[in-house]
Amino acid sequence: MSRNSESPPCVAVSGLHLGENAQPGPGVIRSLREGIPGVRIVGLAYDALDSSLFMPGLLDDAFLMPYPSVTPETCLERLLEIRDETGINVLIPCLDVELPVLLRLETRLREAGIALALPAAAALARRSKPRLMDLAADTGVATPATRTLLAVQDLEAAARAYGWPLVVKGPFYEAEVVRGPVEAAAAFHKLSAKWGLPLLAQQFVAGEEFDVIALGDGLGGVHGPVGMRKTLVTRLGKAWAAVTVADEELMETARRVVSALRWRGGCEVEMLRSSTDGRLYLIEFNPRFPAWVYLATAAGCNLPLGLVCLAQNRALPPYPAPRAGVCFVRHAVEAIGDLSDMESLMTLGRMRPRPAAAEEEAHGPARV
Amino acid sequence: MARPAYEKPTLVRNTIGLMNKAGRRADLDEESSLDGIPVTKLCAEFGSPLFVFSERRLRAKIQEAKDALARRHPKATLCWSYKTNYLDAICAVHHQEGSLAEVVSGMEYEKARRLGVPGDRIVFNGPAKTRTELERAVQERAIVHADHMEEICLLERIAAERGERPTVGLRVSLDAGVHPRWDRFGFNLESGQALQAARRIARGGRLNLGGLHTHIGTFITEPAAYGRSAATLAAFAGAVEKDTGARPTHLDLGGGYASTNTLGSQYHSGALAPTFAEYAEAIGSALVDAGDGTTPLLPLLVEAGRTLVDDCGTLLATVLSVKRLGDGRRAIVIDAGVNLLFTAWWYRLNVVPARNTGGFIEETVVYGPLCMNIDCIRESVALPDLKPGDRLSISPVGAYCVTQSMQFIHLRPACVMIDPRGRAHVIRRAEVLEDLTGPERLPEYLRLEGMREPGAVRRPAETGPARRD
Amino acid sequence: MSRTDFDPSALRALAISETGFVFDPRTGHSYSVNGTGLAVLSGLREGLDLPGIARRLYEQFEVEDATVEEDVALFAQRMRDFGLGVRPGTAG
Repeated sequence: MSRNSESPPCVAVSGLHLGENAQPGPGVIRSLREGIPGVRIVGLAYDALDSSLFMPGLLDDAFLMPYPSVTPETCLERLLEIRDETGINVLIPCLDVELPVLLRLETRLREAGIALALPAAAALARRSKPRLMDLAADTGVATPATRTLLAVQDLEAAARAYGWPLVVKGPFYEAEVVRGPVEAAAAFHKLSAKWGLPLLAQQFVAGEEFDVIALGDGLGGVHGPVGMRKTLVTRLGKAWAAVTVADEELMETARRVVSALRWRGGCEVEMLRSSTDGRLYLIEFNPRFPAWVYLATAAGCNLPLGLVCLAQNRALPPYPAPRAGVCFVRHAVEAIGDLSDMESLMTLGRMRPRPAAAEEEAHGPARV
Repeated sequence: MARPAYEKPTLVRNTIGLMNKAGRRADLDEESSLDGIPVTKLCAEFGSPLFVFSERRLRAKIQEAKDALARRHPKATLCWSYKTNYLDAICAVHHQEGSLAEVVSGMEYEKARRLGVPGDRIVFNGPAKTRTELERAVQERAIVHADHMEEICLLERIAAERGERPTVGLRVSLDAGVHPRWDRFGFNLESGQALQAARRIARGGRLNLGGLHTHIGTFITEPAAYGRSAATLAAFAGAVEKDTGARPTHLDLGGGYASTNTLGSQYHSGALAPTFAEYAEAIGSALVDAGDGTTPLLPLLVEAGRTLVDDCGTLLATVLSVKRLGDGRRAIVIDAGVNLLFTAWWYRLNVVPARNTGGFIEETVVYGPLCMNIDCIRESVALPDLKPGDRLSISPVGAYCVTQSMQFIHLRPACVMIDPRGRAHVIRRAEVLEDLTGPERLPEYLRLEGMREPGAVRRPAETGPARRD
Repeated sequence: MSRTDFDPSALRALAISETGFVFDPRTGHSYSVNGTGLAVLSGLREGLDLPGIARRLYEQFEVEDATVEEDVALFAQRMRDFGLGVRPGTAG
């Protein structure tokens, strides 16, 4: 089961749906395949229609996982089953909701021969939306002033403090810019019905968004921050295209935040360069690699590779300054599946992903 | 070769979001015995439904909480919140482990006294204390937290009549950043009412100032909220002392600590709830931080209920029927409903078969036995094909279910406690009709002698009021 | 001639796997069935009527309670609800 340290690792990766709200799994896997010759990748899917399952050459093996809403015991049981089948010895979770469960299991997974690099629970809590203002203050980074909304009446005080427009945010996802009391109340009711209370009211800062990806070593060290500006965004505000930038202040600010958290693992720091005062504002801190992680790899910083090293207590590769001007445009393709894949997933909770087309059939068009 | 066991033929359409066999199987985890006694044996001996409590688990929980508090505060005392579960046996275990009684009514007060708890080991809270109850509490030196100004006035009158000077604390409501904000109980801190009340007690000449109590909410899964309430309450205690010269006798951080139950609105499993040690850590460090390092910390009371007992209780129930609803969903009817499981309104209780049927797992609606549409225990839970007579265990149900259960349509079942040596003791017998009808009085003219024999129905006697037919 | 209201050609077209995975090529929907469900489907494909299928279940499985006829009828109704094994437009 446990392989010797010389043989390439067998890495389990989740977050396998490259849909409208793109998940990071495919970018992480692509980076690992480039960085670790011979690596074996086991996909952990949550639905039989997770897109990566059908992408030739991406996964060596694939399993359905119970949803992260189950007890840690159930999750552990399944991971151990998969370990026994495949010999996974590294796990890279790519979804926020997996972290609370895996934090409970970290020690036991490690004992079971599955290495992972997770942030400390305290760091995870400290970067949560309601506490972001404290984090920014502690690190000397500007952030839009934020207050908690427990009732619709609280909007009045928020508007008095911040003026209009105002940003009303859900506790985990979604935000709306509102321009007056009526819009604010409507946003409050809509978001609270969807996500529950409390909501957040945030001062509106006009400007351009920049995102930085980085790897923290858990001791305050920050590796290969790579910054980008979104050039195409989806309806949900997600990057569909972006370009790497070289902005020392941007990198330095991200470094300061990641370091102050003593963050362990991958992360994304979202910032806004204000068009009024020119300062950088901290908007959000995501506790995992973003879906565009492969852009950093293409710019010279393979951070998922570093994450595997970190999990396995091995020295990290050197990270050069990333190249500016590298860009990506996401390209959606129809990944082809077959009835037998569905059957296998539905009845066994496992499927055999296709190898890369070149390996399968050197000649002629791909058969389905 | 033996033929496979029959299960009802089942057809499920695979739809997105549900195409996860591993996900469907997730909740299924058989629990065929409780503290070493098979579920089938318990039901055969004591009937179904049946509340089962684990004394071993309860004592371990209390010890864990006491240790956690002792590690973080030099003078911390655990109080048992009676309303959570005031079965005598449950309360007795808490008191044997050294807990005070925390009661919120005269009935609960009386129950604690009857069990042998001295008045000065009872914390008397609640928004509706009567004059008689307060007189007794004063006489027996109970730890009283006043909820409103009328209560303070009443206590002043009682003090004057008795010619003594009782010690009276205050319930305080404060903003701990918790939703919903509980400001209906006690005196509000931020608006200055709490300080006014403290002044009234300290300067009124009839009462001594007791402790300061707050209770920020229920099922609070964020330990930091208790850190905030502890810091705020400690700062308020300092302000009171500075303003009135009277030093509060203690701080009481109330309850609301979560169990491993899962709220309907929670995404993650309740198994990820904070441990009691995390709450104790948040409270302890906030109080140390709030102190000046030289003045001794005020004694601390903590009122724990659900977090201690919820996970120690299971309800065993029996499948009565398995049916298909009009829209094709599978449903089961069991012999325990919301008459016994009030908490099913808010929590996704675990419903687990007591035997591994190994059958096809399907999302199933779990209905109770009441002839009421509202009687639903789970809207959807993954269960195998069950048969009438199959036993289920429903958990965690140690908190509130017994105290909030009702004689509605069905009588209440027995409660047993399994002692640490694995022996089951009946701690509340199953009810009989007399328990329901005992307090009833039927006016003479309504007696229905004539209905003894079919077909021999007589009109009520002329003694009754005139009737128009 | 089918002895039920199910359509023989629609039933024949179904891809039915021993694992309990059923695919309806006409609609693209897939289904999961259990062991007894599989037995009902193959009975229908063989042209058995519902009482005949129930009799077969009694033979093939260890039956404790006697609700097999009703269970088979419910299963058949569920198939009609899904439009499975019936002529297009006759679903429900």
